[in-house]
Amino acid sequence: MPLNRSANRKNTIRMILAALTVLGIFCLSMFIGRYHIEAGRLVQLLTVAPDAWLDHPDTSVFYYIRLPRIIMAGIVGAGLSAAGALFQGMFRNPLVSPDILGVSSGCCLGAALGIIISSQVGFAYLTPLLAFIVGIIAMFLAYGIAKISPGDQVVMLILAGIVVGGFFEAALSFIKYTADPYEDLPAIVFWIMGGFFRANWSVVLNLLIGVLPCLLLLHLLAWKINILSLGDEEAGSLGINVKVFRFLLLCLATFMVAGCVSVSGTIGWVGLVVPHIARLLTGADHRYVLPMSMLVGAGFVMLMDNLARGLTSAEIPISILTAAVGTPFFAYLLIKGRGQAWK
Amino acid sequence: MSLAVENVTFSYGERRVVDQCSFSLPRGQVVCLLGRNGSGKTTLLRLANRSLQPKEGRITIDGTDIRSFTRKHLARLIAFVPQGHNAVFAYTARDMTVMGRNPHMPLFARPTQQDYQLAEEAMRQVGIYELKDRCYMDMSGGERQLVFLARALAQQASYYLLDEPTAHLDFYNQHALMKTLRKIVEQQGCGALIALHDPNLAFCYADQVIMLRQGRIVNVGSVADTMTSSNLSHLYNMQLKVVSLDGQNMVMAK
Amino acid sequence: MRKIIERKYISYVVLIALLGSLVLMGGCQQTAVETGTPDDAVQARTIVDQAGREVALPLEVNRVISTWRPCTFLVYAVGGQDKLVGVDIGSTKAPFTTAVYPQIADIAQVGDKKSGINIEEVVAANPDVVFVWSGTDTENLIKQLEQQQIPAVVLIPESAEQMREATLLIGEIMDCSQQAEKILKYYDDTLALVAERFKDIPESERKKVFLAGADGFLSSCGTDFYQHYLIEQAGGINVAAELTGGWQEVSAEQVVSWNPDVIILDPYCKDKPEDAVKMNPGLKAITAVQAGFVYNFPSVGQWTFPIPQSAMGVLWLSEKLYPDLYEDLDVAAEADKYYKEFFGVTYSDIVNSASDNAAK
Repeated sequence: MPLNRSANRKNTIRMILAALTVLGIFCLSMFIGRYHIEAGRLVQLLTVAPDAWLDHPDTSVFYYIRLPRIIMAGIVGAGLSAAGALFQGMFRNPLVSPDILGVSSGCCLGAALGIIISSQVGFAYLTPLLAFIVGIIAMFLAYGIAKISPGDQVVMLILAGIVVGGFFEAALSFIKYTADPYEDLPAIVFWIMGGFFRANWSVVLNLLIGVLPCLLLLHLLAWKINILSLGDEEAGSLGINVKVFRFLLLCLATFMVAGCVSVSGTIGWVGLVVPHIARLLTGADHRYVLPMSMLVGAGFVMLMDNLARGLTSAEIPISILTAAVGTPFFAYLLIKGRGQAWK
Repeated sequence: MSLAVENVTFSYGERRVVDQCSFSLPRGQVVCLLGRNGSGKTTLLRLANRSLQPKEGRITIDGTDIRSFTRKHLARLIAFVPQGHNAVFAYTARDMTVMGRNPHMPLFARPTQQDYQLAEEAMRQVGIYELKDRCYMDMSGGERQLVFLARALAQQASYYLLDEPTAHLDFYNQHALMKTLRKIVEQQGCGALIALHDPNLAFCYADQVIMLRQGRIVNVGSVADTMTSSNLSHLYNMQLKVVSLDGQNMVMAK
Repeated sequence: MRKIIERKYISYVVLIALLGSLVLMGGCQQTAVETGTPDDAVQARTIVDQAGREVALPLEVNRVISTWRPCTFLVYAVGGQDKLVGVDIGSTKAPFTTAVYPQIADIAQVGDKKSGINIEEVVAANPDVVFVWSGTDTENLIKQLEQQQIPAVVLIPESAEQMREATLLIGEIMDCSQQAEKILKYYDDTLALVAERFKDIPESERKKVFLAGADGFLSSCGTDFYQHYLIEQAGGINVAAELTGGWQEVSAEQVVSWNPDVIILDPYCKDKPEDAVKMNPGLKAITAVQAGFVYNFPSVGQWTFPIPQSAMGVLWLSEKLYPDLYEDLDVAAEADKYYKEFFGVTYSDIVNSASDNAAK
């Protein structure tokens, strides 16, 4: 018998289950929100024609507020988790999160700049655009510093990322220190906290265009990522052009992370914890870890956002929820001795 | 048809680790690298694998400098079995082995059924087929070594570079591995360059021997010509004697 | 293996197609209804808010949402509290708001400046108009409200002048112009009274005031914040006038070198002066500390907010700075009278109910 199917079959079943769970969470999320829409009415809404959408506040709330927000949460969850899984594989380090190269700090700095500038110049998309650009700049800075430093490239990248992240954090502190305390400073602090309240269809469209192709590409390259995770020398011996490949993957992941953070602010713990959960479910093979991370991440963040927007009248900052729920769950998994995927 | 190392020098800072080394690894032969610890065996292998860049000299395959090949093409020509491995991810032995098929796979491809078949064949050749679903991190050092060997075999390369592959193997497996290598070399007509600790294994299985001392090649040639008592004593800096028993040469410490 | 790959790719394609169709549907509608204008029958007037935006409003505004606390206090100031259908989180429990209008405790809470506004909560309350603060974080909120055909009015009550503008605007929108003008007149009269009293004191003899701020005893603010103007209107000199950027931390040395005559603790200052002096014995060198001229700014009325009620704060502060000038005036009685007239309860009642609630 040429192939041992049981391992593959187990993983496939788990993937299907995960996909179904995510679909279930998606459907559940549609029913959750401070604006009460009856279940029967909701089902009715799903069959209503687009022109009739504005006639009733129910449809309006559902289609313009709730639905784009749920989708946005799902995409950002998938994007951050996939990037986290990729970075952990690439850097061969379980403690790595997508912020490793200072991308999140860069995005926050860019957003702060955008907020301050847009009080002078009224350009609606300035803040997320600047957040995105500065996030990408952060990654290139870290990459550049690592490239011209002697030594093991992976270690250098991590260190350079810490340096760049630290620098941008300091710049951000300075901006907060000098910002207008009435309008800009609260807006900056608020933006950094992260959340999906900004969701609308144009944001979702941008996310889909930006993030989905990256997710697809990453998924297609998953096998090569396995090999890359063996270490530079071995990967090279097995025919991978490590420099080019790593750069390509870094660009993909950074593009994804910057895209997500620039519209949703910083959401902690997702990129760090979800890949571990995925690995506990499917093993270390990135062909399964990547898609599983995307699924678990999407479901997890959608679930957390349900709590964020539905639990109390105010919006609970989602980073608090992801940390509060994610970390104890992760600790539980570790204690149960299922942290087998890492030595 | 050979892999030729021409006047290669490599230094770590001021220290010359490989000094003006030249030799050729022909196809269809098993060549053993002998020398004490720190004599430059591993470095030489890594140079041949293009993991390191020589300060002087060049390395060619059939006359073409290996620096002109793409990584992928080079991996189809040369397979490397490392001495140690910092294991981080818990791949199964089978997944580890099939990674050796990468040089033959296009960019977005995943291992096909055929790739898996070749991988399992390689595992069978090396004798670890039963371990195929075991996580390679749960294996002993020696078993892991065999997985790396299987992975290299799956690469179906023209030249195999092995860095002390017998280091963690028990007596049986040491000989089993060398026998397997010998068989593969003879069957597939590839070349194998093996860094060895134990000169007796060279006596049993090698065609040629290269003696490396402090980065310099002090002797190179066929086993019969090169592995004399004086050469070996000089190489290992101790009194050694080559004896013959039932037609088999062995080296003994005095 | 191939089957599994194909299955995954198919599910990807299906997922993308699903999401894509959803997005296309949403995206198409998005462009069509960017400006969400309400029906002509209901819309009757246009006002210009403090951000310069023209907002179409219904003639009668009976359901109002206030999204941050100073604004809620402004609504109370013009007497419109019974039209509130949604407020910021703190206002359902604040002593002032509950003492004057106890039903506020049951009004929907929609969020606040710190935690953001829950748009679904706002829509669920079905308001005629929503008052929002100015800032880049509200731009998105305004857009979302427009989509839901809910008009948003931006208010910027930061300086004294803007505060008056905001009060009048809210009065006009909620048909409480009479009350708005009345309370503003009281505000002007009170400030004029205070200014009259200290006008003869020369610049050099004006009292120097250090306002300990929200970041702790060793923090203060300059001209960025309303508190600075309170000090000036009361006849004092803000020693920290040069600070910019809101609440800033200052060193103990700096405060000593300023050597204020009077120290006022902002209601949001959590430190106690005794603790601060214990940690920094050098502060004992300050005139204010030695003479014991350290006062807690009264908190219940939120007189540091940019609201007409802040006139009471100016009066209170001026009396603390120049007690001899106010021997004939009982500031507490004045406050009671003011609150009774405009809000139906005396100031002392509010303070008592606050301490009752605190004791509970």
